[in-house]
Amino acid sequence: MDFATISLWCLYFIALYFSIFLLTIFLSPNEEKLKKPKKWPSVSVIIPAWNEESTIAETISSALALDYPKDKLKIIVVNHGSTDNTEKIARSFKEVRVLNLKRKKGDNKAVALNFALKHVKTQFFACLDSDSVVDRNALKDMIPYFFTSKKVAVVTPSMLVKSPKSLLQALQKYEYIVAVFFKRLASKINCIYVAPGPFSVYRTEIVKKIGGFSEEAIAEDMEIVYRLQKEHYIVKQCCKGGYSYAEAPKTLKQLYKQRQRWYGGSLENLYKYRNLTLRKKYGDFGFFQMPRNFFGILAAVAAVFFFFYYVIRPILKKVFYFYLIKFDILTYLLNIKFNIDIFTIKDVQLAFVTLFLFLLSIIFFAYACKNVGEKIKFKDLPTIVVFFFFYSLVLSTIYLIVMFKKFTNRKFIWEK
Amino acid sequence: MRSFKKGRYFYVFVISVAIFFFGFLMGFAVNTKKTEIIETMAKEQGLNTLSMQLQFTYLDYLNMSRKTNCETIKIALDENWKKLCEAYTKFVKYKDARDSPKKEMKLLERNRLLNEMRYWFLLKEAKIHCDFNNSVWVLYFFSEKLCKAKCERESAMLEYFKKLFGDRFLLFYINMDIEEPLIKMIYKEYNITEYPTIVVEGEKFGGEHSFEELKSIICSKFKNKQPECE
Repeated sequence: MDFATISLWCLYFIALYFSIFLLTIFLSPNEEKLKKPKKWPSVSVIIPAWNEESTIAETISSALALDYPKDKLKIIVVNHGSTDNTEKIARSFKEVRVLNLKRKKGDNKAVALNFALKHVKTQFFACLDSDSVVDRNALKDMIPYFFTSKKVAVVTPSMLVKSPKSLLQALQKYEYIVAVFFKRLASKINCIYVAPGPFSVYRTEIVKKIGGFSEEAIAEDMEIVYRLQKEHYIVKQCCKGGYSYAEAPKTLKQLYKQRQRWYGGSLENLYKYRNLTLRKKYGDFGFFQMPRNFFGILAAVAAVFFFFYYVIRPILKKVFYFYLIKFDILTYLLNIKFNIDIFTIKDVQLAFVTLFLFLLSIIFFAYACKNVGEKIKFKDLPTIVVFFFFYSLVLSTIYLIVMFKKFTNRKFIWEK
Repeated sequence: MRSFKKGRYFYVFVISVAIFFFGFLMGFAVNTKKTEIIETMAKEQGLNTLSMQLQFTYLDYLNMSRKTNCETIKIALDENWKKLCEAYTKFVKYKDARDSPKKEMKLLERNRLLNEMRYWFLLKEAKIHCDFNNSVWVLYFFSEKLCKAKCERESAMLEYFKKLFGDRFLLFYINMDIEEPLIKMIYKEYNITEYPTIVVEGEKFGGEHSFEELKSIICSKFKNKQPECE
């Protein structure tokens, strides 16, 4: 056995282990039933904005349209040094409180959130990215989770893609759907590690107690959750409803910029909180989620490596073969024999595990779609095929680039 | 204290191992079947060549000229060649699979080689008596250990010519990595000093060849003009 084969086997085993683990969570009984509070608590919605004149009105409108007692809802827009009409548009909404914050070099979203946090007097607050919108029922879907335990610090939304138009956005739509499903599973064992910008709801007291958002972190929404997990707080994912819709990158360049922050943050936090790994006091988060997050890095590297080894390399070999035979492709084609027999199946063991993992992925994917009420139509199949076989490769490549940048100490900035 | 069910980790591990183990069992079962098929084919080839040898002996016994029976010999040779090619294709597919049993493969390859050599002897003998001018035989000496890249290139081109000329091009792969005394004898007979080397209709051509060189060598050995050579 060569090194590639042994590595492949190890990766397959770990992937299989995590998949079956998720399957057991999936098959385990659902959580306790949620009860609506007798009195809805007051909530502030913080919208940090930096030059968002094109989307801010829609974001504010969606927050104002939330089905929640109006006297319990406060909308705060932090105008973080915008040079466009963001402030003017925000001020045009009477119900909105606009806070101005001067932008310094290197400022990120955490600075704006911490600034707003000083003005928050409500029991809970939600963050809403200024290019996202929230479903009108989201808050009422999410708040009851806080009453299951006083240790619940964050309830994360079911974040989906806002009206996908291009292929890239459609692929991200499926990515978000799958992410919601896995987060719902992870929530069952308190293994959430990120609270997305589009409408995660926080318990104010706890966030203030742990010192607010980290202004040094690349991904403050991930760092705070790791910190909360370290302090043994509970992070819940809204398992029914709680939808918010984020603007997905339209181009590969935009996607790269977004993922640079996400994956950079992921690497940074994994390193920062590496001591949580395989520690019994952190329960499933230490024994399942942390190793799984580390495996994510390994899987990204492996995906790119194996793609080159098992796909690109044979293609290059074939091209070289055609070069050797003076590109007499016709003779080659005329002599192709489609004999499908037992000898056609190579590497049965690997094929069996691959098939098992693939079937499991399809089951998870189907449930993920059902979970958010997404109906799969025949016309969506090509996109789903691309999603399954190529999209993760694109993301893995970006992950590799980010890793390279991270290891060569290149700085990340909060880019738009 | 956070929730932590040790049991779940353990039974997930057991299930994962079980799935892997089941995969191994399936692989083992499929490989056993593949080996069986190749062995059966080898036995069949052995019988076919034995049958041809007996036919030759019987003709000699009857004092009949083999020339008068060339047509029958030709049909037997052609049929046998097709089966050898089919067996070779299956063998290569099996050998290329990452999970093929390496020790068993050596035995199967030796078996294949001996069958092909037996066929080659008969072919050479038949060519003495019969006018089989429309075909060319090639012994291709290679080593997977000693000349990987060069031999791969030579193999690719020879494989192409096999496709181009079809049954008129009788290519015998001789893997020098196999421990087989007969191979050593042939090796000495043709004084092979480098890899790859080809012996075309008894003439040795050592070293790696370009596409044009190979084409010219092969075409020159056909007694009749071939359309592919023009």
